[in-house]
Formats: sequence, structure tokens, C-alpha cells
Amino acid sequence: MSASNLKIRAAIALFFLSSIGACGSNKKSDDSPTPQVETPSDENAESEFLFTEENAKTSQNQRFTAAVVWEDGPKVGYCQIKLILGDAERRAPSSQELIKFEPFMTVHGHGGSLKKMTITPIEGEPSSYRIAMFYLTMSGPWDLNINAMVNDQEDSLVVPIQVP
Amino acid sequence: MRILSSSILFTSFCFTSTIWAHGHDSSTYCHNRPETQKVLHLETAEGGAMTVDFGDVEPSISTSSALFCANPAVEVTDAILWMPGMGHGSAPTTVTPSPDAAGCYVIDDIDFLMPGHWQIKIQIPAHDEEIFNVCI
Repeated sequence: MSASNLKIRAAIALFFLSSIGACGSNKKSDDSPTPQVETPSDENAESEFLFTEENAKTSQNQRFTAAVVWEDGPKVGYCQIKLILGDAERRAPSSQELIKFEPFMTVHGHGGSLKKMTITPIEGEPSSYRIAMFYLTMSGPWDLNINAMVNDQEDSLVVPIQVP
Repeated sequence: MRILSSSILFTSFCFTSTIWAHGHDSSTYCHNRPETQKVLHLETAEGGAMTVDFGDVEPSISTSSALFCANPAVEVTDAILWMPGMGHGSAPTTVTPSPDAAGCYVIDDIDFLMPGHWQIKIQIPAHDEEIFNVCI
């Protein structure tokens, strides 16, 4: 192989690699002549994906959106859910804090057994919490009372559920 | 007109009392509860004696453990919390033989969810179960 052939092949490879790099990057380049469209980050895309028409509930004063994904239950016994918080437009919030989670049987005037309940932020899933070991004592209609601060705005939400 | 008024009054009374009975513990046990419930006593049909001891404080919603003892000693497999007036229980308790007292078991993870008449159903394979009543 001649030296000029080698130079041409190296130039083609360099061009190919730089093209791949440009496609895979979302960063805006000031010296780029063509305008680039900002694509949503993976975090936003995931949150939007997890909020569906079925599971997305809007809080009392439209301050936030929440989705309850059952991982174990609902049933009489220890239950586990994933709780996802979003802003009013169902996007990942810039800040969020879960203030209260309380299952309550409103028609009977009592709650569940929460002494072993744990609330843990889920690693790698922003604004998601795993709520485990809350005990629902009987079948019938229950309310999941959720109180949260999303984007510095506090609001509450009641998610009615039926325990078989 | 009088019949109509009476019917409306009667229906209202039935409706109200149904709601009240559903939402409250209608048991009369708490009206006649003992002065202190720190130690609950029970005599078995076989002439034995059993106790559930809550220590120095009266049982309450914040109670989390108790000591069950029997004389003569019995094997205990479980202690179930039940609210007869409401038709529901609580989360499972944990029962372990006491390291300090022979014939006794420590009942942990007690969670009386709400005020009212509760039962502690001690599961004893040789006796089926023994029931202690307590007012929270």
C-alpha cells in the first residue's frame, strides 16, 4: 500500500468518526452553521413515558402529577408501589419532595399498618420513590393520600383504590 | 302527612345509625373495661393461667411489644391482632420465646391501628387459640 493511499484512507476514517460524533451529541456548537433542535434528555423522556393516561393523576390544585405503579398489591397484606412525581405538565420536576404517603380507609375511619413502611428514592429514576411494607388490613375501598412539594409548590392528591 | 314525616324520620335514623355502626367500633367491651390493662389475665378451660403483659404503661396505639406467659407453659405459634367490631386485623406480629423467662414469649410488631376493642388471639396448637380482650 502506497503512502498516498494510506493518507486517503485515514482521512476517510477521520471524516466518518467525526460524523458519528456529531450525530450522537446533543450539545450545541456555537461554530456550527446549521441550527440544532434541542432533544429532551433521557430523564424527561422516561418520566413522560411512565405517565400514561391511565396512571397519571393530577393533584388537587393542579400543582403536580403523580403515578402509582403497583409492584405488589393492592391486596390485604404488605404492599409495595412505585410512586412517580411530575410537574403539572407531566414532566420531570426540577425539585420534588414526598411529604406524606398514607393509605386510609375513609369509609371505616382508619388507616393501614405503617410501622414497617419504607420510602426510598429510586436510584437512576429521578422523582420516583419505592414505597414498601405498608399493610392494608382489609378489602374494600381505600384512599392513598399523597402530599408532595413539587417545584417548590405543595399540593395533595387522593388516589382511590379497591383492595380485593 | 304524619305517616310521610314518620317514614322520613325513620329512614334518616336507619341511615345515620348504619353509617355510625360502619364507621365506629360498636363493641360494648370498652364501656366495661378494667381500670388498668397493663397486664391482661386469662384462665384456661384446663385450669391454667395466662397473661399478656404490656410493662409499665397502658396499651395504646403506640404499643409495639408485649410479653405473653403461661402456667403451665404452652407452645405459641402466633399472636393475631383482631378488631371484632370492625372486621379487620392488623399487620402480622412476631412471636419469639423469651430469653429471660421460661414459658413466656415476646410479641413484637404490635400495631393497634385505631382506638377501640381489640383482641389478641394467641395461637396455641394444643388449645387452638386463647383470646385476650383489650380496649385501646
